[in-house]
Amino acid sequence: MARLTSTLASRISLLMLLAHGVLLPLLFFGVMHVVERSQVDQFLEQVRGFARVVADQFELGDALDSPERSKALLDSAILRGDGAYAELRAGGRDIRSELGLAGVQRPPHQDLDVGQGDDEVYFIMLPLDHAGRQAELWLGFDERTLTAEIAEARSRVLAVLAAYFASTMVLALLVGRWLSRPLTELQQRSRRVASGDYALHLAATTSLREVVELGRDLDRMRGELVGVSERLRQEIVAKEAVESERRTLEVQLRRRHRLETVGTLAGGVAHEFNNALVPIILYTESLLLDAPEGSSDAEQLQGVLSAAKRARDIVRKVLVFSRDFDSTRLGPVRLESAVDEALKLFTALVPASIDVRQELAADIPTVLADQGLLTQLIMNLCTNAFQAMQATGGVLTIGVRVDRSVVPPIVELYVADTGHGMDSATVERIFEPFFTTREVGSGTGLGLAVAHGIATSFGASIVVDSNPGEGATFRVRFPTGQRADAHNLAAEPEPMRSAR
Amino acid sequence: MKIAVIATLAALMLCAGPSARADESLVLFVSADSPVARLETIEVRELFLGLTVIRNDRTLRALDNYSDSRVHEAFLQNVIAMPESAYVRRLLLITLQQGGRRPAVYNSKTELLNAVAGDPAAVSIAWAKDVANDRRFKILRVLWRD
Repeated sequence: MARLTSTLASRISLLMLLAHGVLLPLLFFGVMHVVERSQVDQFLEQVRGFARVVADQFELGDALDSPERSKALLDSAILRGDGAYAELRAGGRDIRSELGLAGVQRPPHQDLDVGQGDDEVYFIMLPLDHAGRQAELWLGFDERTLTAEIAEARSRVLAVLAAYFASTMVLALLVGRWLSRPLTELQQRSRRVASGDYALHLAATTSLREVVELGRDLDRMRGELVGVSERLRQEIVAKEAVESERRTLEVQLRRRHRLETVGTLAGGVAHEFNNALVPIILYTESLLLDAPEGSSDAEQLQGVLSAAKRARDIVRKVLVFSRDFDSTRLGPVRLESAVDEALKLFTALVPASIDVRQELAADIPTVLADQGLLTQLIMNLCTNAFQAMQATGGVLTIGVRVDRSVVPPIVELYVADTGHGMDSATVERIFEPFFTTREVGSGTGLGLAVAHGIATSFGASIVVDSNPGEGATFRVRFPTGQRADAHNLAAEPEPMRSAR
Repeated sequence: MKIAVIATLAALMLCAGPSARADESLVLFVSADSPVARLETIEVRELFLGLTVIRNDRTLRALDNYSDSRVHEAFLQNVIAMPESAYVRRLLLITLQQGGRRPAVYNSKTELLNAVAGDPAAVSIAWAKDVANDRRFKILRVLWRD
């Protein structure tokens, strides 16, 4: 029941039903009362007036003097007035018309209202006074015609009220549906907005002011909620970006601190070690001068000297890595010339299985660098690329491009190989000193650390893109224009992994 | 003794005036001081329909008795020969068109009787039992017997 009456249309219909359930009977009985009284009054006016006329005829005429004339007048009264009974009682004699309805019995009292008695005849008794002679005139009038007319009126009123009720209920249903349609439309639109269609406006196609204003208010609320949601989303995105950048900077800072610590430690050790190597090299060279050529002593001394020099080279590389370069030594350098010079040296060292390619952009701006160190940087990167392809061969590409999407533009030096690639753990540590993936004794692990140090001293950044089995690309990004400050360039290599 | 009884009965018959059973008769009555001795049926109807009726150079005044519904209904049927609605409509018509006066209406029997007793020109209708033994009034005729 509750479910049946839960809709607007059904409640309007129910209210109309209840209201009419109370009002229609009242209306029916009220109307019928008026109709009945009107019919009764009309009947009474007719019969009373006619009875008065007949009584006047008896009183004013001479019918009372003659039974025959009396009877004739009584018969005339029945015939003209649609009477059911006519009787004259005078002087102990009763004269009755035989033209009345059969079986009608005169009651002891006259009727003062329709429906008194069960005989369906309205009796009127009129006292007559003619020349001192008293008499009673009894007339009866058939009530059945009146009753039939009232019944017919009742049927008509019932039919009219029934038709009115039916049409009202239909109208109530239609009105209910008409009223609820815009609300249903608003409801459907609200559900679509709730499911994610935030651009959908909440409006109903209706002329009902209340519903129109409701739609406007809901749509305003939608706009505010969408706006708040969008702002929140943007705030979240911005916060996530800030958080991501913070984490990146934290990683970079920790790596820098680690490298600085290692660099400081390595620099100290290297310096001491270098001090120890100097007399070894000097004395060994001195002894070698005195040793007979080709003798075993000479061979041994040569071996000692080679090992000492090799140690010295390693120490120099460590010192390079840990050295804080003086910026006054930097000057404008053309990268193209540094690449040319490095390639001359490099191509002479690599086997034919390595295809070396050069890609240089046009109109490359100069960068602030040191020519010699720049050449060393390029050589170290190329050496690392060669070592990655040493077993299988491949393509080594060295190039320079200009990123003009920023101002001032960035000059990017890149060295790419088609070697075995690196995983993310390797990329993370690739620029650490002494870190190597090669076998023990086949590398010092300082080449890329030195390259990083050189790039940092130029105010450049160095990044690497690599995936296992997909080779690697090292990119050194040089600022141009004003003198670059290494501290402002987040001078920390970002060993970012990206798919090539 | 026998003569006395007959004489008494004759006196009663003479004093009764119009023949009527005192407790079930609707009578037309006036004040005992009224110069009116008799009114014909047509005159009664004219009087109570608001028309002017003059008797002995005196304009008679009708008083409607609404104190008893049965009295009024019998009056409508046997004197006026109309239902209430038609009677009111006819009074209004006569009053507006012919300048007649609607009969005064009394809902209290006591007030009605006092009004008739105090006005020799007043004419009204009541049950015979209410006026027959009251010396203030005289009965002109019996209008209806139940």
